[in-house]
Amino acid sequence: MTTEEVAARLTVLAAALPRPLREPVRSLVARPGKLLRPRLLLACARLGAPEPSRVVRLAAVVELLHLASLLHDDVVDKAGTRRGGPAAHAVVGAEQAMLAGLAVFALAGTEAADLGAGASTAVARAAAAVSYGEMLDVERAFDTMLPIEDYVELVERKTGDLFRLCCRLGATEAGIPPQQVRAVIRFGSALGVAFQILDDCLEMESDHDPGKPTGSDHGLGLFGAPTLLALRADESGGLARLLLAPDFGPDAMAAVRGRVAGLGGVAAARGLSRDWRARAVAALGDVPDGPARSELVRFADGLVAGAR
Amino acid sequence: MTREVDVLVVGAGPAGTVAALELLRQGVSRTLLAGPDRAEAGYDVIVGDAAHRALGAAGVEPPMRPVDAVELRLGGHGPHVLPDAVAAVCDRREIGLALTEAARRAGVERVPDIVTEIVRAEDGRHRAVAGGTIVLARHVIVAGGAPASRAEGTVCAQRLAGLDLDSRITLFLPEPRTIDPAERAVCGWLAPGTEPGTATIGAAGFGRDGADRLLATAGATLAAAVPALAAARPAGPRISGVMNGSFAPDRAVTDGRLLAGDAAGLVNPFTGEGLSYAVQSGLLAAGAVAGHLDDPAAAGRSYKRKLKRTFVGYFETARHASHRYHLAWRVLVSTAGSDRPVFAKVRRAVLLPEGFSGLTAAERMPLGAAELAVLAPFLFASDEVAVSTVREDWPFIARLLIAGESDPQRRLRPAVPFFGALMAAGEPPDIARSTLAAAIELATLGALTFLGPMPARPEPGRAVDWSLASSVLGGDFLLGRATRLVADAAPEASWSFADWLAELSGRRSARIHPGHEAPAAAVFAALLEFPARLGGQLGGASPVTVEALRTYGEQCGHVFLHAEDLLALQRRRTRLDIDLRSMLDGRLSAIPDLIPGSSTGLGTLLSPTVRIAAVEAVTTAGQEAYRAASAALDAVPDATATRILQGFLDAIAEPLLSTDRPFKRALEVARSGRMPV
Repeated sequence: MTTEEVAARLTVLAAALPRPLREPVRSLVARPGKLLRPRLLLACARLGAPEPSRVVRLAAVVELLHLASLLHDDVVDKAGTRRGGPAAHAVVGAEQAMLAGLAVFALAGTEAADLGAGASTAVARAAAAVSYGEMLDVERAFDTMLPIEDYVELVERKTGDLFRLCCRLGATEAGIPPQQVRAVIRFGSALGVAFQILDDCLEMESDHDPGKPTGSDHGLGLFGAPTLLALRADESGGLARLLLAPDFGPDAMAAVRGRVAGLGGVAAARGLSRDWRARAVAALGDVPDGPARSELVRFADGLVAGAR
Repeated sequence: MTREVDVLVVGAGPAGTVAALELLRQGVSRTLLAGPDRAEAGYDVIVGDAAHRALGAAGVEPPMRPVDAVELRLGGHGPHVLPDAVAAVCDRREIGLALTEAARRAGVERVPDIVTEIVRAEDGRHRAVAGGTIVLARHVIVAGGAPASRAEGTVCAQRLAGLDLDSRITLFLPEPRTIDPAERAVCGWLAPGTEPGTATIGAAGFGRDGADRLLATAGATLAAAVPALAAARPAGPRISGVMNGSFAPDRAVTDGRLLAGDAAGLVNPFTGEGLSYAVQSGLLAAGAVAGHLDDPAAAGRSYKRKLKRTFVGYFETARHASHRYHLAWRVLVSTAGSDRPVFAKVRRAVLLPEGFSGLTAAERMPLGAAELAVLAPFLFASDEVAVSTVREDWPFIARLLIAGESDPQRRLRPAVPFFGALMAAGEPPDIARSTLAAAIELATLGALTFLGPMPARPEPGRAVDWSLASSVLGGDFLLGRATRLVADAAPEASWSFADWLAELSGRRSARIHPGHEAPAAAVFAALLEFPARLGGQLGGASPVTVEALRTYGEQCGHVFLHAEDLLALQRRRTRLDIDLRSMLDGRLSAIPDLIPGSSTGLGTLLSPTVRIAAVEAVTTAGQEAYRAASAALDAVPDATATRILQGFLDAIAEPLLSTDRPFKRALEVARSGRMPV
């Protein structure tokens, strides 16, 4: 039950896709990133004694769902790069990239169905929730008045529900009692929110992950938690004007960073992320202490420390 | 004086009068209509198909001028003509007179006073004061117009003279001026008048802009599109009304009173159009009351149910409503130049009075009463599931699923072959299978969002590419919901369902891959093969029958595409609502497959010889596929199932089967030498 096995499984699955769709998926699978979601699933599975081959396959399924949303997100966000390489749509065109996303989504569906009705239903529900979250994310573009509660709701769908799925599948495979499975699911849900909010904070720091062009989300009007919290604190309205400027570019992003930090947005968002991380760890109270539980807590700490 | 009646209808406008007429028609003779004749100023209103039919059926027949198309101007995009979009224009005053006259002829009892007060009497009846009359009524239908206290915006109109328009309406929705989602849309329109040489200009918008400002905006923007407007002069007063778009089915019954029309807040939030909704809701209220004359509470519940079913999409009380409107506006405007089938459908569904069902065609299935009796409840249940699956989260998509359609059980839709196949072995299908039918229809709509000409990339800038974004997000949303329905209702079908999506993406990808170019018909074959196969398997059909159903489904897909090509060649409205150019640009058309060797772009198809060859080729291929699909049905044991499947096939094949017509029409088009699109 290692991430290497999951990566190998993904390679096998990608190779079976029909030809024009295979390349964009294969090149994405070849740059696996941190495989956060599979790692979370594996860690949850270690709470019990699962059947390793099933766990590896399920971990591949959650990564497929993630890949499908990356392929489509990059089309929507017009992102040029992904995981340090060119985004799929930049290589094969938007239409093939859209179809590749659909094919990967379908592949997750057939794999999940092979693994039984329980897995299949959980995957389908999570996929429906994530696609709704993506809509919430885009339809609020340029909304400088978005309440933080609404933002958290969209993050719960967009990011939290996939983390939640990882925990549900892993814990179910572990064969632990239902009450503990539910606790682990709550852990995943809250962890997803903590992770996403911290990820937003990193976008506000100039020396963040080079895999993603700086300030791209702000360019599209998709303001993260620090900015939304800063907007609340900004009585002058200057930040909103800056964010809605038609000629928004890298320079404007630098100014936004300064303002958001100055208004305490980053600090507040970090605090919010810590709250959600604490909520996640507290949910594990129902899980007996042991190395597997400690691993989950370490996973949460590592995630929230590094993010992205 | 005190009057005791079964039903008091408050307001003698379209909703109220139609309701009173319908009550009488259904035998509720103790009905009282209360309200003065309003001296309506002269201006023309747009009468949609449903309103036209309903008014006609109620005997309300004012003089109308037929209108044959709506010309959309969305943002900076050039005119986009929607044929068969609305029925007519009519003088608002004439509608008022005709309503009064119809009520008088039918013997509707009426008091010409304004109802000033309605309270509950001790016995539960409503006690209303209308002038000198006190009315005690078991039921009350309120159709007295939009209450000013709930004004959210303004809708206004003015008659103009000095310009002659042809028989089409221009509808204008400008581009958002800013990227700020708080901005609200203003919609303008220009309709030819019933009197020659006149026209009516109108505008609607949520927000604080008054009639002057709205009409000035509409005039300025429409002038660019309609030069004749420059010479026009006002020929009537400025009419201005309150727009209240707060409709929600659950709020349409207050304190036992049924609210209809503007009183319920029923208005198209983009166009301000309300006549169709007024007439339809009046009919529904009357039906609900007549069906539960002895039980007002049940009448209220029935009314809410009917409203929910009929007015889908605009009016959901989502927490995110303002975002939803804004998104819909952005998508409408930014996809105005796009001929992806799904956008063509959305334009019709959202902007036109009646909306439009996303998967349908004009042809109705020729089915007998026995077949309809088994099919209708199933389709009805399927619609309920499909709509309730998306209505809260993405209401505008729900408008694609049902929207005030007449005759929904005869519509062409993928749930029909699924149903036919389910009963192929002779067992009547379990109604619970309608959930799967809903999933198939949602997924088909989802698949459609991935089909068609790719939108042009917008100029670089910071805005979201709404056109592409909404394709991707809409498609994912529909497919996600469909997958969840399958997992919940029929987990045993989850694998096949996902495999179907894989098949569709693979076939479409192979179709558009340069140098690969799989046949266009393969995508459509896969779309319809799955419902037929899955139905057969779940219904317990023998392997031989399932195989025959697969063939039937595939060939139906071929028939669909060839009919689509033929309609496009004939410049008729296609089922996907797109024209020949888009069929070719979007790599949807099978013409390049059927006429090999030639590069059958639009340029080539302008030549009469190639055109005639193309018509022959698609007709021949379509008829062949029709025969193959028909022949496959020999292996279906159940007679009712066979008739349903044959009815579906006949309806999709209709354009191909009237053999004389396609040739004649294509020859005419070819000889006229006009542009085909």
